Amino acid sequence: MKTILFVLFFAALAAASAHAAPRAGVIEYAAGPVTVEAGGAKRDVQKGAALAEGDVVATSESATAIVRLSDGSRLKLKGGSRLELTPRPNSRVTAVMLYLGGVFAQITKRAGGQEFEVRTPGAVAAVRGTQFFAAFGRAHGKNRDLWVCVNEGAVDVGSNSAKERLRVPAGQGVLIKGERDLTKPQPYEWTKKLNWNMDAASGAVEDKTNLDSAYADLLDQDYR
Amino acid sequence: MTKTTVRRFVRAAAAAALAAAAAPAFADPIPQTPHGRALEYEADENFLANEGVFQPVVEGTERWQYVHQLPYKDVLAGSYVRVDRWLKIGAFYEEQYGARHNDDWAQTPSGGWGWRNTIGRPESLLILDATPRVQWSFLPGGNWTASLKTRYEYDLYDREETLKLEPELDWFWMDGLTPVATVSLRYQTYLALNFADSPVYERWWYAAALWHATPSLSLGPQVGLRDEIWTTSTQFRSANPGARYAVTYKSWVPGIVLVARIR
Repeated sequence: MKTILFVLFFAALAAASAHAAPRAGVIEYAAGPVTVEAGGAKRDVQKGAALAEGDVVATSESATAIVRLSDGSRLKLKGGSRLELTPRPNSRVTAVMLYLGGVFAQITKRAGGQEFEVRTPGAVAAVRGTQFFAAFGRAHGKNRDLWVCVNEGAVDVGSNSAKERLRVPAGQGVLIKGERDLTKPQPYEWTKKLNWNMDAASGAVEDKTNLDSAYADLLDQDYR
Repeated sequence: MTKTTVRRFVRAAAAAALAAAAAPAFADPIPQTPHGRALEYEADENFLANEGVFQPVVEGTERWQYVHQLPYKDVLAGSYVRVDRWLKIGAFYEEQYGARHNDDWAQTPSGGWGWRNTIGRPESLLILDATPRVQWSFLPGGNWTASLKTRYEYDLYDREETLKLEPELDWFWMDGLTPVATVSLRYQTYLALNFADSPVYERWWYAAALWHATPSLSLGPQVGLRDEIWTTSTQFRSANPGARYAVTYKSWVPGIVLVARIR
């Protein structure tokens, strides 16, 4: 009888641990309404809330949230963003999925062969330790532009429709038109206004950059 | 007289009447235009700068015009002020050589009629400009702008006043936020405010492409279709009281454009 109970106990323990998602991170900073969606349920969260793989963190238009991942990397969500802490697709890649808005990523150095990816439905930005920003821009019908801007290190950017990835160095950005067409990486004036700070103790972390300013340059192209 | 002879006579009379109507006979000759369109050449150079809301401009044009490709050139200098993102206004001074006006159709020393030689004749113009410009993202491709350059020109040489209206549509080929090239369609119409028998005395249709080689330097080809309407000169009117003419000179004007921008 003892043997049976012992086996049942461990079987239940194993089943429970198989269903509980691994801890993926924690809400390190929250200003304004921030919610987490998990298993079809949505809950408001504050600083200190634990996050599991598969959780979707969402910020209202006026909110800012910083997520610290279990490996020490940080993700700062702009207002109006939705980000999923994607279950690890394999042992080599850690990934998050950006559905809406924009995210600043400060990724800790990876061991050889390890990658961190910020994915969107149509594109991917892969790094091994860097600081960069990814955000959706204007929509063209069903397609949305994606901007990736690099502050430190380098980011390999690709889209589902492009075979090769493009390396974006520090100080430059790239526009992926409609999440399909990669443009040439280059410095963009508007990215100088991005707030890269992720440490609330050392200053404001909210980023107020309006991505419309990235598009307002056409009227400045005046040749007559 | 047979029926056939009568028919021939009627046809000949009708043809003679039509010919007379098409080419009214004056005591003195009127300006002649070539059959079809003549060929001219043009080069345009624009130098622009940005100093806050001010946009200083220097423009130069050289054209080899009319049937004998006579040299014409002008230099314009002044500044725009950007009143709003969609509107700039400007004031300019222009010096031109080789311009031909209606009143340049005159009697020659030998008693004939011809165009005065204006190649070395300087003319000064004062110009006021208002140019609204908007982005038309709703058009296919998204990167469109439309503008309406409106210029009042006062020629100090003969006190002629002109209103130039110039609607333009531009499409920008962009790589990210950097323009690679621009394709433009432009129409220019010159309205005579205090001279000429015809309200429109010149009009152009332009198609142009501009390759933005660097952020500071752009260049490309353009082709213009030019109509210039010559109406009765003062001297002709004096010599032929009551007589009027209006002749349209037409030409193709291929050329090149160079734009240098100092940021």
